[in-house]
Amino acid sequence: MNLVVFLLLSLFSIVLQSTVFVDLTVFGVKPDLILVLTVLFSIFCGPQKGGALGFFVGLLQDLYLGGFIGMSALAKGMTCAMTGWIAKGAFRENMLVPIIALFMGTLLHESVYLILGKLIGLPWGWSLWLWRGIPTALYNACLVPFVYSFFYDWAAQKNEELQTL
Amino acid sequence: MINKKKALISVLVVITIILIIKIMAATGWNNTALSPVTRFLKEIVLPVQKGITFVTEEINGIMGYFSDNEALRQTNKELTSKTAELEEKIYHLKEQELENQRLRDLLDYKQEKEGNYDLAMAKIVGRNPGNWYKTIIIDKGTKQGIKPNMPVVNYQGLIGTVARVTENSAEVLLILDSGGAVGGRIFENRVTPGIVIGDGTTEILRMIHIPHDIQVEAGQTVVTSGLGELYPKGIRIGTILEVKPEANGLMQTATIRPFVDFSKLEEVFVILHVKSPESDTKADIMSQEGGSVEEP
Repeated sequence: MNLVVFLLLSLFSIVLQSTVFVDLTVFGVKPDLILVLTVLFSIFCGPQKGGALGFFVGLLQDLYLGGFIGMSALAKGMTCAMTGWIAKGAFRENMLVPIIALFMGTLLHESVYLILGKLIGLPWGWSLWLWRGIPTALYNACLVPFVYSFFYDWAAQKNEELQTL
Repeated sequence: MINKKKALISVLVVITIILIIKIMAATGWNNTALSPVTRFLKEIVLPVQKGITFVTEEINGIMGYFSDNEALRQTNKELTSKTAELEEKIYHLKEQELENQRLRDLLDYKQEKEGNYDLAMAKIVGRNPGNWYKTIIIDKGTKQGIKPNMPVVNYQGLIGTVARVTENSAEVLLILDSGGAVGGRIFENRVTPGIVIGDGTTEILRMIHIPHDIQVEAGQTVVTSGLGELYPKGIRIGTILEVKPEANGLMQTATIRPFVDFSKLEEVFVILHVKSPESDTKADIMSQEGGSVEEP
């Protein structure tokens, strides 16, 4: 049931990403809400569940978009597994933990995405990573203070359910 | 056993990644066909997407109203300020244009009268603060050779005479003042019938003591007669507006509109020295030009 709710939430995030967030573009980038949600979940769920969650949400995103299926799944899966692993022993009440996790996680996500794109022959260069990855990482990290407290309270209440997710 | 399991998982992960990469490549830009899952997801998301887009556009529209309003206010403010600035510039340009015109007229006048007078140009720096006298203050005085009783003119005609002089300024009594009487002559027929005086209140002059048998008509030009030696002869004074008989029946009075616009005076000439008086009749002018005219 929780998985269904989360998938619906992810789907809704995808919709928001393609509608409302278009208007929130700053320096040519808009925040990656799906990545924000999955990385924050992975901080609480750990690397395995976080990674799996990231993978499936990414897959959902890929399936929705209909092209390059598996690219977001791999990038988000790997990113969430990594941030979940790093944040495993961290003091999650400290706001800096999710901020740094999201900043680093976004950079990793963009790197993986770029490498995967290059692997399948897309004409992407590292300058694209520089101009897209770093601003997105900053933007995502800036969103943490606005969503983390709600997320933390909710996650604390649903801790048991998250563990069984 | 555990190592085998780990190795198996690792192999599976690697195989999965390779498979995923294969799928990624296969579902790239070259593949335009959508999978049934994608079509299904897009179909169920579409109404939500439409709804959110609609709401977003509405909100943007409402917010846009305020932001546009603010932008319009800002634009309006900028344009108003710019308009004021431009109006001021236009005003200055017009002022300069008028000044240029005045100075050009003065220069032309000075060149034209070079053979008749030695002229000193002066700028009006003040007017009489009271209501009793019609005088102006000019910025030239004894240092510049100005003396009392010198006539003051401009390119339009006679203005008055210097009444009092200091080192660097002079007070000019205008012909509009009741104390500034001038001997006048009709330019058209050289008749010297009377005295031109002002009433001190309006900008209209009167020519008094014209004998009743003298033919004086509206539209004729009055110039200085040269009698009394205060003013040289031939300086333009004004145009006759109308002629009325005086109460005694022996004389008549003509009202004259002066050529000089006293309300717009800014620069004047003081006649320092008269070299040769101006031609004061049509006959003189015609004879100078080689023509002839019958004098009455």
